[in-house]
Amino acid sequence: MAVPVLELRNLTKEIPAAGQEPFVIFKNISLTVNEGEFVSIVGPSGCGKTTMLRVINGLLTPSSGQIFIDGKEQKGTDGDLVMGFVFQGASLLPWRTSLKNVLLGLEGKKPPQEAGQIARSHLNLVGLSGFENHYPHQLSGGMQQRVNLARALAVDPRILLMDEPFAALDAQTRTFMQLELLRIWSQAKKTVIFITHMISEAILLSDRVVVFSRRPGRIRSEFAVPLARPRDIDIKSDHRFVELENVVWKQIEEEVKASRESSLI
Amino acid sequence: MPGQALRRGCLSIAGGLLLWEILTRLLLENELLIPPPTSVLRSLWKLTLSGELNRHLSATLFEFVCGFSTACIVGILLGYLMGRYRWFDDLMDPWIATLYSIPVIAFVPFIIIWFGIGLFSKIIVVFKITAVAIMLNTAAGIKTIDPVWLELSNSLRLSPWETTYKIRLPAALPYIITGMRLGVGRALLGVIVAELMAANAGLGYLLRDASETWDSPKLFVAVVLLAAMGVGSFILIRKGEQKLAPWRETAEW
Ligand SMILES: Nc1ncnc2c1ncn2[C@@H]1O[C@H](COP(=O)(O)OP(=O)(O)OP(=O)(O)O)[C@@H](O)[C@H]1O
Ligand SMILES: [Mg+2]
Repeated sequence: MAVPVLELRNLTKEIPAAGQEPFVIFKNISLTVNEGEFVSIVGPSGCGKTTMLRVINGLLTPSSGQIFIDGKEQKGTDGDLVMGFVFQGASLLPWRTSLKNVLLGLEGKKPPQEAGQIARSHLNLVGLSGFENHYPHQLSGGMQQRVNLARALAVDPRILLMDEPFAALDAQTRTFMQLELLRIWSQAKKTVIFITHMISEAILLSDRVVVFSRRPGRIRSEFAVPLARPRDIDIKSDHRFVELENVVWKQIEEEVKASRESSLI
Repeated sequence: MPGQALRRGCLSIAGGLLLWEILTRLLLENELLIPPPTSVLRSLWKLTLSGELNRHLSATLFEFVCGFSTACIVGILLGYLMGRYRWFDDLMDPWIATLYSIPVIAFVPFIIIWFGIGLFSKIIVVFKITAVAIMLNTAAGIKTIDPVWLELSNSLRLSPWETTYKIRLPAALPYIITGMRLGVGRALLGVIVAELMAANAGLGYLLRDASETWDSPKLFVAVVLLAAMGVGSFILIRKGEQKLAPWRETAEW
């Protein structure tokens, strides 16, 4: 039985503009994500993906619509910590070591000893044991994103929100991190919303791929990924993988073209 | 190679002193103009034995430490408020601009009239100079914080208090330390000026006393001690910076 963890109902975000039509970033998004599901969101740049993730996390308030987690409505940043957020850029605190960065969400919420253990085990999970006392500037880009992931996972969230976590990595590191994420996800068993520009990344990782339209972002289509798990890199040459990649690419291309034309008018 | 740099520095100073000694002994009859290092040392020794040195040095140090530490506390506190709240910044701004633009020398007579010639007036001078530098820098640091860190703090549901001391203040720390570094040099100058004008103890007082009695070796002792204090406080701040902010590459100075 699929148990819904996250439910978005008619979520809309617009920015009021004085004397003009409001600037609509995304509109009427309804989406249900089930327990343990990995859902990717792809869409043209500027279509409101990051903004939507911020709204879900409570960092921004929606203009209308509702967000439910385990059936409980979420309002702003009040309430329990039920979401982990991995930000688009590097968001590690440079004055804290890896371990202390992971501890940030645990301090004061767990007894110090327990918090320390949790943080260490999550650094271990992302493959960084031995780097507990390194500062961010002493870590490579890939390692920094591992710490980010460990920090988001350490608070044991119901859902993990990831905003293009690998965008800044070189191609090789990125592929490697994708496989690492597959491994970590299979161990941590979290529900994930993952934003990316890379269609192959979305397909490789996800159970479901959601395609956004151009701004104002709406859900244009959804695809279940028909590939068995566990997956590895070879799956990219599977014909179903390639077909899905083509279909999604065509849709995004259409959206990008349409948004270019509308901005030319 | 810090060891090598240190060795070269010491060698350079030793060489300079030797040259100074030889030149003054060979060329100058009159010790009044430039005393040779040995006379300066003798004078230092005499002052140490008589306990005079201890009295002056500890007076200046005391004024400096008291003024500096209260300035740190008040400067960081007010600077933080200025950085956080626009209205507070607007209220403080004209006062700080005025205070900042009046040279210390113009201030000292008033401070002495108000607070007397004792230690307290010098503490005020040090405080005034340092607090403003720290305040402005703290405010700048708080204002320029990377918004991603604040989002992170919200996303981890940190309390406002946690956000202050786990995110905002550490983020502003490099700025705060820069303020301290700027403050040290000027505060040292300020305290000496104040002691020169009116005091009954301190290195500035020693300086005036020596110049009034045409005692060049003693004058040099005061100057050397002042230099030592300046260098010492810079080293202390740098060490403190390395301890407080080990993630930063050592700053240039
Ligand atoms: N506070 C704001 N005020 C005005 N416009 C905003 C604001 N925040 C976002 N926008 C606009 O909303 C749109 C969506 O931004 P968002 O960052 O969510 O896009 P995105 O889909 O994440 O893009 P990318 O894929 O490039 O990261 C952009 O056009 C952006 O300029
Ligand atoms: Mg984005």
